[in-house]
Amino acid sequence: MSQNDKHSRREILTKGLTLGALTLGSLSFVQFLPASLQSHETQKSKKVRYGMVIDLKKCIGCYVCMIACKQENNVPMGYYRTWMKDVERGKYPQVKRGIISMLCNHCEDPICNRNCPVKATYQRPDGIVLVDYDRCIGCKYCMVSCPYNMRFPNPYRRTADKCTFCAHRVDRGLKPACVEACIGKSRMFGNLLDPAASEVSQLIASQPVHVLKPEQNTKPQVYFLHLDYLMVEANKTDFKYMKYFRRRVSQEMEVTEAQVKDNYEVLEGKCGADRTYAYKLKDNINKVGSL
Amino acid sequence: MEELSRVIYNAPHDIYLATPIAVYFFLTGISAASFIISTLAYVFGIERFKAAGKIGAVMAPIVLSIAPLFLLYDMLQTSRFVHLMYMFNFRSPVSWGSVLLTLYPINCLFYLYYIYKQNQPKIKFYGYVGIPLAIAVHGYTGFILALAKGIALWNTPLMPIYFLVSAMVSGTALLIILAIVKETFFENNAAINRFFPKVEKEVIWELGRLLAVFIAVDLFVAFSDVVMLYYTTPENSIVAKLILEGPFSNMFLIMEIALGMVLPFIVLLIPGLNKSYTVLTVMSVLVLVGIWAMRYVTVVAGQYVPLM
Repeated sequence: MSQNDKHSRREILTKGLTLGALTLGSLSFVQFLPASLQSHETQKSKKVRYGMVIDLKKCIGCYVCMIACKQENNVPMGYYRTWMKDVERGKYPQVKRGIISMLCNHCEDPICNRNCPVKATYQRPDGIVLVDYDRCIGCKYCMVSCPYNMRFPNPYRRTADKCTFCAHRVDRGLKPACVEACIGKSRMFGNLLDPAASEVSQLIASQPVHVLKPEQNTKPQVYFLHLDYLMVEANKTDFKYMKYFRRRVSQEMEVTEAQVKDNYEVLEGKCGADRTYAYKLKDNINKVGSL
Repeated sequence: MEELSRVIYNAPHDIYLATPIAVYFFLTGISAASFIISTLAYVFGIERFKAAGKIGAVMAPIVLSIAPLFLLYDMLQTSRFVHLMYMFNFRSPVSWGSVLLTLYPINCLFYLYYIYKQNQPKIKFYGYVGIPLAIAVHGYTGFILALAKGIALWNTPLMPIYFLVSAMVSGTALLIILAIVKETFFENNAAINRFFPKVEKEVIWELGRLLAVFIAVDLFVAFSDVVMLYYTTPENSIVAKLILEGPFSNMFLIMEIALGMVLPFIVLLIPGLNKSYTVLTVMSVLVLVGIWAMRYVTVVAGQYVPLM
């Protein structure tokens, strides 16, 4: 009996060792697969498709979504995963000010996903487009591919970075940080394929909705209510203005005194609203400079 | 039209692909073009081009071995360049490049080796394989830009053709410069003459005329590109204004079009001038500077207009 026992124990041991070795082997193999094929415990049935509806009439322009996103995701200074585009429209007696929330559209047919040479960008079955930071080589091709300018190089991680729809929160049944923080409940998040339970799918079904740049054929999944086309397309003809958008550094963030001064000089003699911009720009540059 | 709205605040964005990428495009263009010119002699049997073709065959792998270094420099995670070798995404033009940038230089080296061995059938084989590879190795860079479809200046089917034609221009120009330098300064250098036979005067003049033809084609392609930009969608016309009136107008109109194309084209057609080595060298340098301006304007001006 005891011999048998020993035998069986040895068998079990060898079997266990082989199994362990196999598992280890397969594990090390798994990390070479694209992240889309690796098993996620988060992968749900195909009936989930996350999306967002932004009601711009409810947006009060408090910038709390920007702040919440930065706090939640530790976004580096000077970069934004979500931001507000602040637009002034019309001429003096009839002036209107509007705001557009910008974030990654988590497109159904993402160009960044198609153009990534190493499949570091992938789309989960629930539609969230993510970057595999260990695969990304930082070729920056996704950043120029995105028609919405939503991607940026993360200076610390040195890879591409973008909005994740707070995938880590969503997987735990929470809402994205910006949605949670939104004061006016302008941002609404939910499952687009579940008309019974989710507010977003009901809104999309019943209201006139818009997406950004539908002509790019990316099928964005962030829908806007009360979107003003003239505000989206605002101010792309003033070449002086474009200087502000384009921080001419690609790898390191360096802002010198001279650059700040230069920006102020260009701003002089413009409309009053520019002072707001200057203030925010200065604020922004100070933060960047102190890094 | 009066502007209806203006932006008060927006998030800043970088110009992500800048000078290193423009240099890379410039160098691959020269490499591909010099290979194609060398096949004129060794594959299509135009005997008088043989001496010049040999210079082209040497230029092609040397220039191409420098070019990817600029890509590595521009990469944020340089050490991860090996990912390109075993993680393919064949829907991405950058991934096509990792295949082409491996195959093309190897083919170039074989081609060069058999030129020195004077093994005619092998030269022809590697020449025939090399021509589509050379077109692909530069044509794919055009697709890199053309498939970034948010950017109006890049997203045009003309982009790969524009790139290839300007590559032929810059490659011929550099070949003329090298041939003239060799004939002027190293005419009696035995070590160089052992490898490179004498390039006849008539051949250099003919290369000059060839350059004029390529410039004419390039001018036509540039013209159709700009016209289509100017008259079509709002995004396109903004980009056209950017390169015709905006901050890139000096570089585009003066450096690229006037000094880089129109002036050399006219000078190369004047009967007396186009046979002087000095004039040919100056014009070739102007052409090279013009094509460099074209690469830079295409890469940087495309990203200059905010997309959102």
